[in-house]
Amino acid sequence: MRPFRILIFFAATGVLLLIISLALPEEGISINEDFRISFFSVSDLFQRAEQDTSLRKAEVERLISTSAVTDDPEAEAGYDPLVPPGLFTTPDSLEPAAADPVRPVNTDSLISSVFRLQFAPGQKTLLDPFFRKLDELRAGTIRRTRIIHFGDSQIENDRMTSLIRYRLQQHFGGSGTGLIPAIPLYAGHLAFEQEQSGRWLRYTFFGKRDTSIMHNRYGVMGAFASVPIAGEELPSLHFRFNTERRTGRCNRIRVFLHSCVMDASLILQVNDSIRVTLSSLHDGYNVAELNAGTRVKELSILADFPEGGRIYGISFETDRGLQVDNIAMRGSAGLLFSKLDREQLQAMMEDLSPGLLLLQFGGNVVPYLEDADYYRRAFARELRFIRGLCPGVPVIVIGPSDMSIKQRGRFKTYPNIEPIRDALKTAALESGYAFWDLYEAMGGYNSMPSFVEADPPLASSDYVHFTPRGANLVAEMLYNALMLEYRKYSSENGSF
Amino acid sequence: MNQILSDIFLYHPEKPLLFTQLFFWIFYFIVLLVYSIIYRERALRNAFLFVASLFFYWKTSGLFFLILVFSTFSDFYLGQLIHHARRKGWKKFGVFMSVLVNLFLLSYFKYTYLFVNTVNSLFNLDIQVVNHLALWSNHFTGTHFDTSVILLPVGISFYTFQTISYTVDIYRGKVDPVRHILDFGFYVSFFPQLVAGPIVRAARFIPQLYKRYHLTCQEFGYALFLILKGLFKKMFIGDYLAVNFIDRIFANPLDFSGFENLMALYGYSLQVYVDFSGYTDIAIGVALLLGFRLPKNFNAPYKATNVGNFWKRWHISLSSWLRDYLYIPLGGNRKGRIMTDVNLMITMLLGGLWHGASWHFVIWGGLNGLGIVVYKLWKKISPYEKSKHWAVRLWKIFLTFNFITFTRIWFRSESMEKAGQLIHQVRYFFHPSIIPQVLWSYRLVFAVMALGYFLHWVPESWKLALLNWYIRVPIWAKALIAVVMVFIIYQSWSAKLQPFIYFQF
Repeated sequence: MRPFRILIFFAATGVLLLIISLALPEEGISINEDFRISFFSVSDLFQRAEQDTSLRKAEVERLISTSAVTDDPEAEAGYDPLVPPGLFTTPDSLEPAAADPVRPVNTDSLISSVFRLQFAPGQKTLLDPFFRKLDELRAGTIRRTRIIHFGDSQIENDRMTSLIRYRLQQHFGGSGTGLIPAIPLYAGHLAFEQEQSGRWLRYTFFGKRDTSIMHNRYGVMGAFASVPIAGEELPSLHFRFNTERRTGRCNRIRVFLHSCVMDASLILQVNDSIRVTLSSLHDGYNVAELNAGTRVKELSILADFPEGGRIYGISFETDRGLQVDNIAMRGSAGLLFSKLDREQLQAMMEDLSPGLLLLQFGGNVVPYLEDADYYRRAFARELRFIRGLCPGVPVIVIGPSDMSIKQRGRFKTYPNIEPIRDALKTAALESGYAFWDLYEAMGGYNSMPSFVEADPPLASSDYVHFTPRGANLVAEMLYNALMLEYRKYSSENGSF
Repeated sequence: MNQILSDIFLYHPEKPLLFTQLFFWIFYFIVLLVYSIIYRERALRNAFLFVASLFFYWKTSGLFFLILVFSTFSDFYLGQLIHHARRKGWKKFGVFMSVLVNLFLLSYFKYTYLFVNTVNSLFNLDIQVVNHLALWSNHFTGTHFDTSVILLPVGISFYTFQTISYTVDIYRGKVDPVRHILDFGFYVSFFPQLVAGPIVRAARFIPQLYKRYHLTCQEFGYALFLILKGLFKKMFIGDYLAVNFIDRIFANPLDFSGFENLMALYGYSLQVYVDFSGYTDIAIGVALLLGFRLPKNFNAPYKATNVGNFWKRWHISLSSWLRDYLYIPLGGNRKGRIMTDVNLMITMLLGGLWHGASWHFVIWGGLNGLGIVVYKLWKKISPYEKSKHWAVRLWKIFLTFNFITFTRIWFRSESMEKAGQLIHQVRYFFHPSIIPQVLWSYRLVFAVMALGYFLHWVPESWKLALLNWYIRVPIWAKALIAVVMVFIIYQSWSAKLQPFIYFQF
């Protein structure tokens, strides 16, 4: 067979493909919601990606080059030019003070590159109550405070939170994971291993709800684990901590639970040496607390609940210092708080006593919701509800990251991202809270493809979720924004 | 106009000439166009394909094509030296220099970071990598290369091994040196196999340089079949699985349950096969249409009944290269049982390192080596070793496939830490209760995965029947089938991404 015939064969095949391309409408033929038959168009062949501004990827080189984050915040050396010097004195006996690292740095140029928090006019002092608590923590006049980081799947598995926690705890003390669900799907950065006996089930208010649950007492995490009724053996949860890691070190355990009848009891066994039975738990919401006084290496929680019950969460913390909780609600748009049982939520929130709330949502409405103003109104309602739950506690709303939609094999930012971001921003500022624009911080329009294609990748190939390194990169930016405000507060109030 | 010329002739790192890109097929069409005019002139044909290959490499790797040119020159003249030298010492010197130069190039570009990082971590140092070649070039030629990084030229692992085989084969008297440097350049850089193999032996390829173009109608059908099969495997199965499932799990194992991690591992076992074998299928087909026969590189590897058998079916051109140029020179099986096993382990460990400059590739190679050594011991005592029963054969295939898949943890994971995370999730966060939800939610992904494994495990006679049918159909039907296949593959390529799934557990 001569090459010319092969050439003709290829030419004929190409012509046939071209005919199909011309015959099919450019937008393709929709088969169902998820599938559309399409084919390349002639313009695809000759259109350069650089000429089509909707396909131009954001420049993220500068972001990457100015950050030294890795997959694991705990692997970093303590280095923090934005924090007032001398802060490396921690009140936490578990965690000795880190040495104040000295490195040459131009702080002014660093400050100018910080992507700042946004406040409503007249609300610049919003975060002062939290910063006051940090100062008091440092001075030893209070023992504890905490940040609760609520979010959707973007923060799942301690993403973003872990860096913020680690950096802050280095300065203000504290360790441990903070609040975790009784049955964790993941172990953030391998802080512990968990095993369970008995048929524990997890129910969530977000995502797919189990319709057999007729109440709405899900706790602050929007999820609970049902405690199996004790048989011959007590159902148990067993934790083995990786004390090499800061998140794996704790000396205080709190179990937030609900018993269906009086006289339920909970046995907490620590390191095979401390065994505490918390008996006569009353019917309803309870907090079982154990100050171990020593570093917890292993923990068994045995539940003797005659009629079953619920565990809303377990907090691994320290008796002094700052706790930072990661509460990831897959699929949630952050519109669930006001639908939960207010009384139970308030009681748990008071026990947690947060000094600052971070609310990071928006990504889950981007692909589906057309009416951004509806989202603004709904989110503002949630913020009013949260103000009622935690009066005086400042809130930082964090907008969605960039997310890409795949069209004809190419990725571009969802058209709805900016309206949703604006809706969240307006809701936050109108409520008197702060806003941090994650979308713009990471580079704005079409920054997600640049994150996915970075080496090593900063985002997953679903073009939505950050990799641990990407999450740490943007979390560091958020942390810097927070520390810049703290620096300003400290200089204005003489503590710096 | 300038923009179009720049697109065509300048190097754009974001647009390499891959078989999966339309621009490759436009390039190939133009090559065919010229080729159909000059194919009868043997010297002109080889020179043209050499230039086309250099252009292909320039578009794929930019100025790194100069390394290819350097390799071509050095090995061509060393080959001449080895062949014409009368004294054994000069012959040995020629081979030694060829191996040294090729391994230096490979080590410099591929293993510098591994070496520096290992030294840094062993001795707690902070040595930074400096690209001395770039420094030298900037100093003497005024270029502006970044001296702080060493980038890996595409395909260097393949063409350095290919040129080593050339000089060693001349030394061993298995092949005569190529007469003209353009012919040799063509052998080294032939574009279908330049980037991802198969590694072509001089003894097999060089005689083809001097033969007239010849292609039967059956071979034409076979080549087209291979190209379509390769595109289907690579794009419809491999890319779809990677983008929609596997990559995101391996990027962050802790974000997914143990079951999802395990499924990603099995998915990867398929993906790595369809990716690699699909690419070489296309390479073999593309080369055959130009009249050149490349060796078969895969032979249904997951039908292997033991690890040794697997390596006779997987990346055959590499495993046979390692056997002939590493294992046998080490002593092979000629120095006793223990030394045979030692030689085998060295070969597999270095073979692992060839796949990637990281210690986890060494672990992967080591595990495969252990698999071969343990099997050699086991078969001596196994009562079923000689059994022909189908259940025994099935069990062996099952066991081998699962072992190979297990070793893939270290092949695919970006780091030892990530490999540990995957194992951790499978061990402690398996969550069997969510299996039905995972299967249903990722039903398209699992359907593609099942199709891939089904197509792999169907009897060879079925595959042969399909191939023969395609070869027999008239040429217009071949074109129609090609169009339908391209259309189907495009649907997979342009399909919406599988969204992140929310599992209730």
